[in-house]
Amino acid sequence: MSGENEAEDSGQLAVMDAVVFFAGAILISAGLLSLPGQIRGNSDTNDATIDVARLLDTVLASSIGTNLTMDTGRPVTVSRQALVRDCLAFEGEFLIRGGEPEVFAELNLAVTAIFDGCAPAGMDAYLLLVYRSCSEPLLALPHLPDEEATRAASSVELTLDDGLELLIVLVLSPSAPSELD
Amino acid sequence: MTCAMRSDESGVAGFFEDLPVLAFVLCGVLLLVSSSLWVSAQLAGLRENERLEKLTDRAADMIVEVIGSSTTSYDVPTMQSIERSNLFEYLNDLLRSVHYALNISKRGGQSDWYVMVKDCFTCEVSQTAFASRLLNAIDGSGLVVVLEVRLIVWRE
Repeated sequence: MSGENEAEDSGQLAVMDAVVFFAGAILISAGLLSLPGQIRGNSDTNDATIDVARLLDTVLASSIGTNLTMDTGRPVTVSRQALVRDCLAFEGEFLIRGGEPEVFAELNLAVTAIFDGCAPAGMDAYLLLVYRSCSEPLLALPHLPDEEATRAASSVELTLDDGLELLIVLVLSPSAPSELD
Repeated sequence: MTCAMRSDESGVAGFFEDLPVLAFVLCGVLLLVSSSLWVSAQLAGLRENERLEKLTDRAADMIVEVIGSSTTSYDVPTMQSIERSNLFEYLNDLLRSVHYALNISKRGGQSDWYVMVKDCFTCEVSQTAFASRLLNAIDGSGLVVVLEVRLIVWRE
């Protein structure tokens, strides 16, 4: 009688061990199956960061494309062949000296149009001009929304004629869904 | 005689009692083996894709270099020099075993200008990779514009 009980107990123990092994196998399989997805996700993030730096460099080295006249105390004419980098450096220097950004409204529109045209589909481009000793950006084209989203950014430092250092930051953020979506 | 019968019965009962254990263990082993095989096949595919992506990235960089070196008088290539550069032969040498289509077009604003180079081959596509590069070029009116080089490659 006691021999039968012992045999039953050891039989139940063996089944329990097998169930535990099976549960462990399920867990290990789940871990293994999620591995390729994780690797894919990591490689996508790296690509997005590189594109912003290239986009910023290329747009800064391109022409503004329209003739502009601005009144900065004296009339300033900007040729359509002038580079975006030089225009932003000129605007940054003016703003550092306390000038009003409204003077450059046309230039800002042209720069925003170029960045919007070159930004990847489904992404909005935001440009910030930052002066080192200021906590707030000198200029934000357009105003960067506050909500948290997956963003990619890159920056370029410009040294102006009188040694001032200006940081141009480009932020790419996913476009907000339109009402039609 | 009685003793031999008892041992046979316990042997048969033991076998049937062990069946659930055997089933659980076999299922667990099969699960582990099949998921390992699936994951190793996926990882091999990912490695192949990664190789193809690296090749595409390198090819796109080299195309930008070739376009940049095609100009003699300016730091920035002109659109005419891009049209004249023989990218078809260059790409055929560079991407021997894979098929490709290259498009260079103006980024932003309306423009009809583009350069298209591709090998005329249709096949079943198993893997694809894409690379895009931006570069500056001077257009006919002397403006520095932004061009996009888009390269798609695929394997049979």
